[in-house]
Amino acid sequence: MTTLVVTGATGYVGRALVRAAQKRGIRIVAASRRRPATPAEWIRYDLADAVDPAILPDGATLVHLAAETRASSEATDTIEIDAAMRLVEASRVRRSRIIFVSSQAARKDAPTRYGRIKWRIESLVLGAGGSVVRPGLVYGGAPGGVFADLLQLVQRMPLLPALWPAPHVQPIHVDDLAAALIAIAERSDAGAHAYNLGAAVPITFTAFLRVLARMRLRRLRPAVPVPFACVNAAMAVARLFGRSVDPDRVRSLRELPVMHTAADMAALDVVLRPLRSGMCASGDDRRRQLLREAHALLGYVLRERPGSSVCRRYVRAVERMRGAQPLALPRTLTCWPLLLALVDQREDTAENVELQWRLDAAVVLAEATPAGARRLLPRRESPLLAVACVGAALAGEAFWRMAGFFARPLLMRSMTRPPREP
Amino acid sequence: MEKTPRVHDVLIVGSGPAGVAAAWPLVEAGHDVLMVDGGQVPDQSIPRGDYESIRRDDPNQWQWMIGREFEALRNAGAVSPKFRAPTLAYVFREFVEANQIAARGFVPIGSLAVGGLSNAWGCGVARFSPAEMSAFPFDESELGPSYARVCRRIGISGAGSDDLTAYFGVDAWADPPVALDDAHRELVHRYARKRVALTAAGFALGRARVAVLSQDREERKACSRSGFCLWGCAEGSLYSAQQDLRRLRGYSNFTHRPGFVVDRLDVRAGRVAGASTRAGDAVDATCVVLAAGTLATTRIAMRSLPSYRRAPLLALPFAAFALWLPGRLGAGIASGPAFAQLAFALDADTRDAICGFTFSTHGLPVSEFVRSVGWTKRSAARLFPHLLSSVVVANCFFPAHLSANSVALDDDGVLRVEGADAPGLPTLRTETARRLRRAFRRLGAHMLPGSFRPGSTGADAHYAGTLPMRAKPVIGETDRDGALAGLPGVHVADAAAFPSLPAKSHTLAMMACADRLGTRLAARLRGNRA
Repeated sequence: MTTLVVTGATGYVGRALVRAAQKRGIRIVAASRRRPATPAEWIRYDLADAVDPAILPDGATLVHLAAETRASSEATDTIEIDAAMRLVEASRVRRSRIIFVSSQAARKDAPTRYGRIKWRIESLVLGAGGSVVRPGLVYGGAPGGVFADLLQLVQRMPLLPALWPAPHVQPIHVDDLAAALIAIAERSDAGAHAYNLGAAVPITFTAFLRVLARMRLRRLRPAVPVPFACVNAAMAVARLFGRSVDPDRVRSLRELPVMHTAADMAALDVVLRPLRSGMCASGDDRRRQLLREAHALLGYVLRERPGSSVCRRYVRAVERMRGAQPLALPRTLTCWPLLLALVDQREDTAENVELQWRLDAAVVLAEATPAGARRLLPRRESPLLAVACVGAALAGEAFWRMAGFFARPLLMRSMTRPPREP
Repeated sequence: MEKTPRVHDVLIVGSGPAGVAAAWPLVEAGHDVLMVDGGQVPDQSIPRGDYESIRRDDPNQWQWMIGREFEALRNAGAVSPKFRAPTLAYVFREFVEANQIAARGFVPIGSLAVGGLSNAWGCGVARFSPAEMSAFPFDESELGPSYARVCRRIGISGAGSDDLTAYFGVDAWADPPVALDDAHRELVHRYARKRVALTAAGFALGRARVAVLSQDREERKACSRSGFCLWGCAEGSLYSAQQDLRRLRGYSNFTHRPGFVVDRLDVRAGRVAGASTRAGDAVDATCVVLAAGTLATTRIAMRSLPSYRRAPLLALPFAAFALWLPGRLGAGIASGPAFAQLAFALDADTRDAICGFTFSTHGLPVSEFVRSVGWTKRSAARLFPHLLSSVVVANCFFPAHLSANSVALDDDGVLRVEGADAPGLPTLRTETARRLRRAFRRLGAHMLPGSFRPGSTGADAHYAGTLPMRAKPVIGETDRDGALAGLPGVHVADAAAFPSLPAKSHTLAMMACADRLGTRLAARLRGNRA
């Protein structure tokens, strides 16, 4: 297995890359100003430092993530270019590969200094036979980089800016980007190539912010049209809260070229997670879907809203015993748990076996709560009432069997379909 | 560091009922006894208090109802809810893996627990009749003193002159019964009125004889009818071999070594070495008593006897059903014991007797019924709260000659168990269901339609017959003292040595046989020493 030397290993993408690589058993050498939080080999590295080629182990791949985050100026440009030249030279001496993580904004004639600098470094790296990665808007996981700025912005602002004219972004989850970087590092045939990575279909920046607000921050934020000219003012507000934002980076949003990502993604065999999943703090929304399923199934059995602790127990049971995959319950059934009776019927198909297991589990879990015991334990009552209730249960069963006979095929078909993308 | 291994007089493999019953006479005679077992101990405490109020009020009831490892959601296919009780999970844990058992058409049950399967026992006790022991190579009356010793030690209840007194044969040593609940009392009253007609049809009903205390005994308490029986008894009212083991540990000539699973025995120079499944771990003894439970004992015997690789395995076919007492609709939870309250037998005076027990639904999770009825869950959850107080559940066991199971040891040391029914079983089962339906209807108890269900083969856990006792044993058989032919110094104290197995509970008979074996072995060892 190869060794990765990662500059900027403590940054937003760097942390995700180090974690993903270590999980795969790849040796990591972190090159950063600060010691990384995860235990890894570490060498002190600053963009302004000279680079001793000896720091690159034989056959190592150098992933260059470190970048100036201060607002770009003549001085920072020089630092970035010089640093890149030194790294390219060091990797040439040691015959190791270099992967440079650039930006969607990189273009020779980019309207921003930021984009033009990235392009110049790209040319250096490609010229030396290295690989370049242009990620779209990186989001998800522990906050960092632009994503942290956006989180903070949405958290503090009561409204979402619907920028006009609407810029489009191509989001990529930080863990998916890390997986792609590892895939490139592991390719033996990777030559000088610029990989465009991000969602194949661009979405508006506002739509991105809305999902961020909803799924990550669990807030509703109405969007108001904002002419692009006001963006600078908004950034000034953000700066008041203590974060320095490179205005150039945000400005470059406006002129982002649409990347054609499908071919590169396919070549690397990287499949992006849906934005709504990725936006959850855990990196996917399986658990949220499982909780919704728990509410539906337990509510169906209990005939009342289930408590939160029994729902969590259901989720843990499914995670532990059934591979954590949520059932593809149609919205009708999660909103109206009573209608689960339509699919709760005997039939020996694979998806029904799973549904029946979960319904059985819901019964067992629901019973082991005070609410469930009150519902299920035998009651002392007048024999007449008992007869009436038994009769009602029989009649109800007959009704649901009949209704299920007609409705079930339709509902089961929608349950076998893959879950809808946002 | 090399130590000279200590040579014990007797190594007893297994600390279940057979093991402790064999140990007592040996320990009391002063012999140096080492008992080894799988070492599993409870990891979840049994609830105490009033079942109903705990169920209605305690938000933490999931800890014992569901279990931290979701034990209640495992083994969903097993008929008996015991296999889903989190507090009993330790009893069955890792037995199959540690003993390398592979089964087809058979549910292999055994235990690595301290105290063995007795920790999850239904506590039914009975004495085998002379007719039921006709295949044994010694006279039934020889067991008399052993039955008396064992019964006095473990404490049994249920005495009452009824139509099953002769069938169970233990009333001489039994305390009065624990009080019945209302539903069962009604059944008893109706039986008294219909007795003549029912007995003429071969049906007899009486108290279940159980190893449950109805009077306090040292640190064990009389049954408080708390209703937690399914999960185990925090008061120690139900017998478990752990209680005997605790007292045996008080003897200086008794050593208990948990966590030593015997894989194989080596007999040389008048000594037996027991090798553990862990490499390099072994113990030495002058003689060995195998009491690891039929399956584990059989595997150890077959591992140690190269020419003995295959045997028939006796197990009791069984079925479960539910009875409906319409008069009790709306009566609410009946307080009463959750263990077997009444017993019934068909053709009790024959060797083909069929035996069963009835239980209250109190103290059973209602989800057991909701899951098994096959309705939509919501309707079932609406039905049972109103129906269950008028329902009594029952099981019935058929004699083991209706099973045709076998065990074989393969070249990799795996014990392969094959389950099969004897040809006559399906017809007999249908016929029995019909007879029971009719008999209980006369008692005002209606068998719920579709509720009579055969249990999975092997799930009864009443196994026997792989190393049968014979007057003239050949390799793989045992003699009248349980000595295993082909392995000098090795004895079999559990039901593996039973040549036949009637439908009634066999644990007490097994303990009596083990006590007899221990007594005779103690005498012989003393003779040798002298």
